Amino acid sequence: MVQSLTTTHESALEELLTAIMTQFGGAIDFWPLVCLSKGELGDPVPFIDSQWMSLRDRIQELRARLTQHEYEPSEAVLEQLVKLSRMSAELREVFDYFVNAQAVAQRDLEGAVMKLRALWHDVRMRLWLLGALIPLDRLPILTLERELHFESVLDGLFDQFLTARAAPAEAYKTNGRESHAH
Amino acid sequence: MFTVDAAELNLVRESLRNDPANLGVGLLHRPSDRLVLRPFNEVRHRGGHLELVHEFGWLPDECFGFIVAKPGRECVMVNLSQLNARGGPLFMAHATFRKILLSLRQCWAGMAACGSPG
Repeated sequence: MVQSLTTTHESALEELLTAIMTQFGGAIDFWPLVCLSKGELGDPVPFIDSQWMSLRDRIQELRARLTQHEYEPSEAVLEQLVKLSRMSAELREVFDYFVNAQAVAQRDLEGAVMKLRALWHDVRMRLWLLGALIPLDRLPILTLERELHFESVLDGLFDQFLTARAAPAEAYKTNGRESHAH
Repeated sequence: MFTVDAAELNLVRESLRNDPANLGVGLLHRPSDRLVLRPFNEVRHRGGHLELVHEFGWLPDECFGFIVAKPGRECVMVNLSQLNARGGPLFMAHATFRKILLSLRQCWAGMAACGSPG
């Protein structure tokens, strides 16, 4: 077993860490919209399940790639991978509340939004830590602009769920039909 | 009217036909009046509207977003994106969205005419 990475292997890992961060960003920016649409986009569960499985597969791919080419990851790297997998499971639990946003208690919904924020901060930190521990030359990229966008989305998400709960079905204008939410 | 790439529209419709659990990500870039459509699963890292904005090198403040879905037999466009919110509601102005729908319908009608016999 060796401790160093080839350039190709290193590039693939850098790309994968950035992919996981971007996809997790999608879980903040896009996935909740499917739950907020109140059925206009169809049943949210198949979409959330499919996207969550894709994210979980990427994390598993990261683990597989780290043990490729006789590279031996350190205990600290393996520990971060276990934590990352655990966080992806917790992300799916958050969306159990979001897909049932009409029925769950308001405090549980607020708790789920807070949990999503905590998971996002944690995932970001762990991906950077993984990059540093492996070690990679370039850490996953998150521009300040994107970071501010995600914070702004997280700031408004609970209120958006409350608004959607209060609004009748078909709250958003679809195919030219008038909105009732304005 | 906004500029639509018929191939993008067709790709989203085909993609949703093959996998109704998938969605379409739609963007309007105001400075160029360009509409962009992409199946969600084909946005490079599945990052949704924001990733697509960055893929084109645009700024989030320059763009509005919508979603294409196929909850039943027909595709529907839903005026919904965090790009529209900017601290307010998740939908863009109705007049803008109506213009998007018209542009997409016009594009699709043109494609149907191109493919129709006679």
